[in-house]
Amino acid sequence: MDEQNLLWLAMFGYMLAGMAAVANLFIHRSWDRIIMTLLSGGVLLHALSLGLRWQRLGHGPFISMFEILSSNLWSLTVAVTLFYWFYPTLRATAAVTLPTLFILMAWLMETSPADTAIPPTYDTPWLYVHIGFGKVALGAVLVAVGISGIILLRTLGQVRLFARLPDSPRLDTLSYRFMALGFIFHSLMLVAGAIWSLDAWGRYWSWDPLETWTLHTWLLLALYLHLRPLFHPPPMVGAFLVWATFIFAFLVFFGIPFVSQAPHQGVV
Amino acid sequence: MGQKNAVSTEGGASPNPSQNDQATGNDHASRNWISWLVDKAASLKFSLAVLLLLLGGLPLSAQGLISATALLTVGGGLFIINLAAALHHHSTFHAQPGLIVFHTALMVLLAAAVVSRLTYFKGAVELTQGEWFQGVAQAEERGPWHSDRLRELRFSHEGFTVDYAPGLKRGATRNQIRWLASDGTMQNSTIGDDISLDMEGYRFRTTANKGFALVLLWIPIDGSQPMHASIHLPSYPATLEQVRHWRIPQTGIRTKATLLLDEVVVDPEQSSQFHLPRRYRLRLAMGDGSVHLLKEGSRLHFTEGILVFEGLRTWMGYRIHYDPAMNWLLASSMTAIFGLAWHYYRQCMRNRWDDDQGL
Ligand code: HEM
Repeated sequence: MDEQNLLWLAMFGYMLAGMAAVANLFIHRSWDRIIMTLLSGGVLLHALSLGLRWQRLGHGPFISMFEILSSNLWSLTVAVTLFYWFYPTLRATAAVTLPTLFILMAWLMETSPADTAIPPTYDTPWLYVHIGFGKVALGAVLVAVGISGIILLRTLGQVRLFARLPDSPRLDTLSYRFMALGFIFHSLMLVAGAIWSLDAWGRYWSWDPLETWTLHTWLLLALYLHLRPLFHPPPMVGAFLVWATFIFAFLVFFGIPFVSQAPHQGVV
Repeated sequence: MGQKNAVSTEGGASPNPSQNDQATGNDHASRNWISWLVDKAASLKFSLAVLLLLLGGLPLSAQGLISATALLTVGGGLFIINLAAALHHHSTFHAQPGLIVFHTALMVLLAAAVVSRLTYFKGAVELTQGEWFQGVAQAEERGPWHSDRLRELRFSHEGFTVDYAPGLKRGATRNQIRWLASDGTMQNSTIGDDISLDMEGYRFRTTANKGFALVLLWIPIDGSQPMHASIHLPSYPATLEQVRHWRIPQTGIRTKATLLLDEVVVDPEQSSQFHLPRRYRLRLAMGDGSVHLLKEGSRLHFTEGILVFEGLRTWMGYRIHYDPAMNWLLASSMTAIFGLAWHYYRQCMRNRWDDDQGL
């Protein structure tokens, strides 16, 4: 099977898993095993698709929008799957995180999978480190988004659906921890990116649109991390801030490369 | 201090109690005033204000509306004051060593960022093959405190090759250079892509901006000194039409110089390499409508002098970067991340998230 069909199949698996996770909330059947199988199967097929493309083109999936979306869809689904595995009591969060990923899937279907070439300056190990840290950061924030989604849905009156889950203050604590993890990896991403950029273009920071907006995301995360220990906001406010940060980070991760064509404008 | 002791040993009591009270009162007042100031400086409201200043300023500086140096110096300075006061003031830090490490490293990071903005240098220079860099950049941007040691640096561009894959996809650049080391010895190196020439903290890097240079000699008829000129044609193969308008120095003779390549230099269809062609001609279209085709060594006679086409060379565009705070930035950011990871690790080990206490 070729790369593209493997990708379609993987996305079909993610889609089914997402729908089952939502249905699970209402039907109270335990479809956990099915969801887990769909997710891990999808992740494996998707990894195969990305791997084949990587081998064929000789570079990782991070040059074009299609590659950025596809590899992030993969890494974010890995984050969701790992969380699903390690936190069995909180599997209901998949009903929030997986539908969020549907946006990426829809977008991915719209973009062209045309072959890409890697500019010579991109060819350094630091690029892989930089991108790897970024994916962990966004994955951690997505998990926090799932947890916060439950808090927000409860606030909106959907208490019954999540009655068996821990109370909102506890969820808020866990979500905060994932945001902290995201912050650490986001910081590592910035440092690795600066080292790569120095290697590649002889400067570690140049205020290109992606750099500037990524710094904004970092500051926003810092703001969120301060609010909780210092002002003890109610879980609903924390959850709202997690969502706001995620939406901002999402737009920066995917929106800025979209606007400026190349991930870092003016470098190719 | 000495004054107060002298008073108490002499008389046991102050000769003028009201004056003494006033002194203590003043002392108190100033201490109160200082602690009020530290209190305010340490507050998170202040951090928030600085953060908003930076958040608001960054897009403006990205668009060039305000100077990034001014923004970072003011914002960074305020943050350093804020952090120092907070570390001193907030007791919550004392039991959390990871947080102390993090915020202290953050302070150093900010200080390094400010130093960096004040002392950095960014520039660009184009050199013809065989030409020596004379310590002056053609375009530059610098921090106000940059101490210009660039003037002392010397290196020469000795030619380069660039690999191209089909479709004009640029591969490795290899640029031969000679440079004068700080011990006075002459060195030969090959730089390109991620290998730069580092001298006295200045990094010189090759760029994709490079191409062919026409080297000409002008011999004035009046016996004055002959002059060499090199015309940098547009970057190749980004621009395939190799044309430049040029005026012979100190004359009114205007010409349009076109390089005619009689061989394929970079073939878009297959893998190839940028190199100096062996077969080429120079086409000079003069203002009076006459056109001349010159080969290497050809001469062209004018009433004011003789123009000799000495041949074709390459030119390379270099980017120059200098930042003395770079290692400090890296060390402090890594320390900050370590401190934070340590802090959260301790916190997660101490309390389970689903305990009553939580975080
Ligand atoms: C952008 C810069 C900053 C970042 C990224 C940052 C990040 C953090 C983080 C991650 C924490 C840990 C919160 C926790 O316990 O989970 C923290 C705590 C803290 N930060 Fe910052 N910080 C920054 C600047 C500042 C500044 C300027 C101040 C000055 C007031 C400050 C004061 C504090 C205090 C007092 C705490 C302790 C909170 C507590 O545990 O009660 N921070 N900071």
